[in-house]
Parts: sequence; structure tokens; C-alpha cells
Amino acid sequence: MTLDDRSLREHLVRRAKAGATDIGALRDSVLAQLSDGAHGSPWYRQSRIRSTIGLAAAAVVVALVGLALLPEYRDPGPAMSASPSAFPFASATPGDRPALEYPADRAMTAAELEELLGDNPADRASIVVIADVELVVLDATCVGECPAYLIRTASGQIAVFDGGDRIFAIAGPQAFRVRADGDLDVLGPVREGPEGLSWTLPQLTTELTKLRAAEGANPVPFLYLVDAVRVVSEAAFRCFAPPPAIDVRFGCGSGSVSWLVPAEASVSTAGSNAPPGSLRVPNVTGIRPSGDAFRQRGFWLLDPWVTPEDCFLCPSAGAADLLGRVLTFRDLGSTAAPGTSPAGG
Amino acid sequence: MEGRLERELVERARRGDRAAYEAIVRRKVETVYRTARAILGNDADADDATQETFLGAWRRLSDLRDPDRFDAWLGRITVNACRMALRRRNSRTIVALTAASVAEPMDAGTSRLEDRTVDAVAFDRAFDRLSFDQRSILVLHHLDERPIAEIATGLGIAEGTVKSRLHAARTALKRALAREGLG
Repeated sequence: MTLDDRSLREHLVRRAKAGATDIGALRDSVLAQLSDGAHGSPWYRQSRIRSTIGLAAAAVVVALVGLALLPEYRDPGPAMSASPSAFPFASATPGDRPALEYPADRAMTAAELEELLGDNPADRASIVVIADVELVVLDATCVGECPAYLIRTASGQIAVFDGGDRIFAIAGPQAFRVRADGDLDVLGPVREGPEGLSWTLPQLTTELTKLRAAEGANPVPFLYLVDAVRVVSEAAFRCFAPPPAIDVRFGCGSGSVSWLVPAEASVSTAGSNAPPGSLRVPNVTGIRPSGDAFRQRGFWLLDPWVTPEDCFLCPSAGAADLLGRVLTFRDLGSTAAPGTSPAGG
Repeated sequence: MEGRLERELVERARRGDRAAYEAIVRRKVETVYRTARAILGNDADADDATQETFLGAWRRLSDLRDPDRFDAWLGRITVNACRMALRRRNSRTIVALTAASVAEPMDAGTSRLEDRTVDAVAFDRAFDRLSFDQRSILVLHHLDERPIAEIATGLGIAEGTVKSRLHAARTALKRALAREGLG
């Protein structure tokens, strides 16, 4: 859609007139308040406006206090070891695992996110997490980088930074990358799969094919979590150069491209063609396996691109940027340092 | 005639003539409300912002140096009142959509059937994703049809800044529409 001036104005007019407010009553209310103010009852003493001012003042105070405490946003959490191996959710075993598992079935809660960050968030630096939390818009001016949102937790709050456009209204699962100081960078909203938070690769490629655009590569409005195997082949991969709008990291050649293939698939990547049913992703780690193809199963967070209909040799579902591997609670509890876990492979 | 009458009302109101100011309120209340409604997207905040605008303007009317610039001046007060309404909302509630209200991306073919058949709800969601300043400047220019120079005067910024902000706001809106499956 190209939103020309005329259609933009039409939408704004509709939006402006969509309200159910009685303009006459609103006018009378304003006039009444003016009248009251002229008779020794200042408008700012009226209860409605006074409460409004109170809220605004409280907001200012909260913002100032929050800014003053920026480096210490999160209160110390419940006592827990800095060691990731002590992460309590990792103790779940197949026998007593919860009905819904993270991240296959559901996103993290705010409490789980807080506990994950723990006392030593540096241990979790750069990992990608998905949490279903409410983001409080922080409309503040800061010296230097300013958080865009706060996540309120039981014992404190977590600052969230947004490098891109502000997303004003948010709900549902969101992907974040953990900073060494325990703050988060929001990556974007995550679309849930038909049976849980994650998608199988066939489900995802079908979904993305539906979103295929007629012209150029378009950003897809959501991120997707897919349960798949990442494969990297040593063999040179022959393909047409991707459209200019697609990042050069999706290019062709030896070791410069990798694929996600269905978890159950046994696919040879020794040839020069893309594995069938695969989704092309960049090989951000530059892994160049010798001998057998590199294979790694996991939950992968993707930012898909929809490729043009006429792109010969483009994967049918397009390509996707690989934002990171989302570790399970078990992974988080057993790995030495999540920061060393492969963000991209 | 209309302009002269309005100027006279403004002059009288500046001298403390409440009847003149009430006449201005009657003439302007709908315009101010529509602007606030378009920026804020809901009735309650737009009501608050409208009242704040007129009460605040009455208190600060003596600050208005040029009566001919009353509209630009009132526009700035309106935008500031909207900003305050938004801060109050953010300070007391968490702005969140229910999962069910998150946009389902439209089928690409459907979205191209007719450019103007953009889903209104999806547009509003996309518009609400813009920053406050982006929404304000789009409303002032494209809804209120205020010229660049007047917006610059009202907001106290250079005309070039208004142009660049408008461009950035359009770009951000385009991106937000894409997120709604309308790109």
C-alpha cells in the first residue's frame, strides 16, 4: 500500500471523528470550569483536574527517581547463585516438567526473566530470550542513551532499550537480547505458532509463503521462533545473487550461507543446491566445517524476509535473518556461560 | 471579516474579557478536540487534553504577543496538553493490546486490491506505534492542514526541521503499516 496524502488525511479525519464525545457537552464543561475559575474557585483546585495534576506530578517524580536510579534498575533478586547451573528452572526433568515448556510452548514470565538475569546478568550477556511481559512506556529525557520501556517485576524493574522505532502499544511475546548490565534490548514481537510459541519449519515456510509480496523484499512484521536444524555446508553453494534489498549476508558461495532444515530431516548439504524445504539464513558465525556438514538443532529466532515471486532459485519461503538461538531452561542451567552459547550458530 | 472578528475576540480576551474568550472556545472547541482525538486515539484522553488546552490558554493568554498567530499558539498548547495526557496515561496504566487485538497480517493480494481500502483498525494501530512527536506533526499538517511555516512557529522549530520531521514521520508510518501487514 502506498499511503498518499489524500488517504492519510482520510484516515486522520476518520480517526479524529471516531470519538463518541459530545462536543457540546465538552464545550459546556470547559465554559463551566472557566466560570468557576472566575468565581474564586481556581480550576486547578477542582478535584478532577487536581487528581490529574497529582498523577502528572507523580509521573514526574517517578521519572526523576527512575532516572536517578538508572544504573541500579533492578533490585537484588531472590538469593540465587550467579552460576547459571543454579538456575532453578533448569531442574525440571522430563518426568516433572511443566505442562508448557519454554520456549517450545510458551514465553517466559516476568518473574522467570528476573530470575534468569539474577545477580550476575553478565553471565547472560547477549543471549536471546522471549518473554510475555508488559512494557511500560518510559517517556523521559536522558543524558545519553535512554531506555524506552520498563518491565516491572516483583522486586524491581528492568530497563528496556529500543534502537529502532518506538513501538507504542505492545502485548504478547517479545524477544529481547540481554545486555551485560542486565538491561535488555527489545528485538520485536514474536508471532506464536499454531501449537505453541515455536513453529516447525514446514509450518513456518507455509506461513511465510502466504506473506510473499509481489515486489521486492518486504520486512515481515513479526519475528518467528522455529524448531529446526541449522546446517552449514563446506561445498560452494550456487545461487543467484539475492535481490538488493536483502542483506549481502544472504549471499552465495562456500561457507557463506547456511540453512535451517526440518528437525527430522536427514539432508545432505554436500551438493551445491539448497536442501529441499529449507530456509536460507546467513552464516553469521562463519563456520566452515570440514568433512561432515555442521548440524545443530535448536530453537532459532528469525526475522524473515519475503522474496519476490520471480526470484529464480530463491527459497520458496524466502530467507530469514538469524537473530539468535533461544536456549531452553535446561540449556540455561547446564551451559557454562550463556554468553558463549551460539547466538548465531 | 471572519479573521477580523476572531482577532478582535482574541484582543478582548487578552485584556481579560471572559465573554470574548468563551466565544473563542465555542468556535474552536471542535477543532481542538479533533486534533487531540487524532493524536491520542481515544475519547477520554482527548477530552482531558481539550479541557486542559482551553483552561491553560486562558491562563496564559497574556503571553500571546501576536493575536494573528493565535491559531498556531493554540495548536502548540494543544500538542502540549496531548503530551501531558499521554504521560498521565503512561504513568497510571500499562499500554497494552490484548493478544486478540494484535494485527493479523492481511493477505498480500487482498491488501493490493485497492489502496484506499486500508483497514481502519490496522491503520490506527500503526499510527499509535509512532512516537508522540511523529503523530503530532502528521496530524497538524495532514489533518489540520497547517502550513509548514505555521507549524514551525507553533512548535518553535525551524521550517527545515518541520520538513525533516514530517518525512521521518511518514517513513515511520510506512514501516508501522508494514508491521500491520499493510506494507
